[in-house]
Amino acid sequence: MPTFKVFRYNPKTGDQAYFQTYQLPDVKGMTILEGLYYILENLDSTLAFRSSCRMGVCGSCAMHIGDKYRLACETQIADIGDTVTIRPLAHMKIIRDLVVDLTPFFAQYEAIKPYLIPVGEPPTREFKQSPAQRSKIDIYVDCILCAACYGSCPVVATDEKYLGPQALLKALRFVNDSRDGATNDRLSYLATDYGVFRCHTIFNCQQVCPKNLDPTGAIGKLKMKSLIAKFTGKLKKIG
Amino acid sequence: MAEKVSNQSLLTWFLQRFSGLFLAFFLFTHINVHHFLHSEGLISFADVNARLTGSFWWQLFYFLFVPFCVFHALNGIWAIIADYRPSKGFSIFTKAAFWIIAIILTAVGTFTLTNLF
Repeated sequence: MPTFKVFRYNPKTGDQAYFQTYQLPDVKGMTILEGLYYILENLDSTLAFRSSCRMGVCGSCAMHIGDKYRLACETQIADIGDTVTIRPLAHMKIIRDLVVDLTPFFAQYEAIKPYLIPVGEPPTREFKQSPAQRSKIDIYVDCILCAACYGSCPVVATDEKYLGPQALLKALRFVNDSRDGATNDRLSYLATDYGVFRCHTIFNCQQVCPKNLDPTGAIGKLKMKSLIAKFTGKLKKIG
Repeated sequence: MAEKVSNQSLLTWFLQRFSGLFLAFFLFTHINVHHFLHSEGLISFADVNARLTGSFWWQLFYFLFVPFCVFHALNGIWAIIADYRPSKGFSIFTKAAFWIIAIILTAVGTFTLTNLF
């Protein structure tokens, strides 16, 4: 029978955080999320956690499971072991139990302007893009904003203004996009003291990304692009 | 994107790697020359003195080593401090202290080298 040790904390009560232990039935193929729902429906209706799609698309159920950040819906209990320790995402304020305040995460995402900024007037019909041009953004569009990388990044832990791996990965998606005309503006912002050069290439984000998107590699590419832009005089002053 | 922010970390990041590459080359060469390629017993002050006075390139090599080493060390410490987003006052104080330390260390290193010739 698997045992769940779940992080519990309610800032409204002022009580200390603690781990609560639950015994679950042994069901073949049961995921961590199904286990949490079992607890919610049968053992403890006060447990709080986020989830939505249950199929690894929405990114709502990212949490620290066992030894690293994972999606609860994509992780089977059998893959972790008999005892599963579950904690919320790190570096963000806890609202309750496994639910954290994602405001700083989405603020950094918004800061990189995650939308196309075309050169001049947009075309009257669709933007044309060749398969080769599209392939440059292929993997980066798959980010589901689960914040597993953000929670695992030690630079985020010490510097709340650091953009973080998710925002930087998404920034490369727009820098690489042939339809976007604001490459130098984007690189100018990404090369500031809050951007790519704060990254210490620790690879935590790469290790935990449930979609295998390699944020560390994306940041490395942005570093090179920023350096080239700097030495060719294309970087602008921000502010 | 309205807040005024510098991109100083771009240059310090680049120079940290550039100085790191130089130091890797320096240490490899220095250790080889002093410990493996030196065939006549233990290396002495006279041997080092002879090498430095006999070649402009060795002089240049060691004169470059001092500032590169000082920069790499202090910039590395600053990178650790910068991770903790220090206050403006603490940043100015730390940078001023690092500049003074860098100038003193470089001067002492250069003075020592000059007296070897």
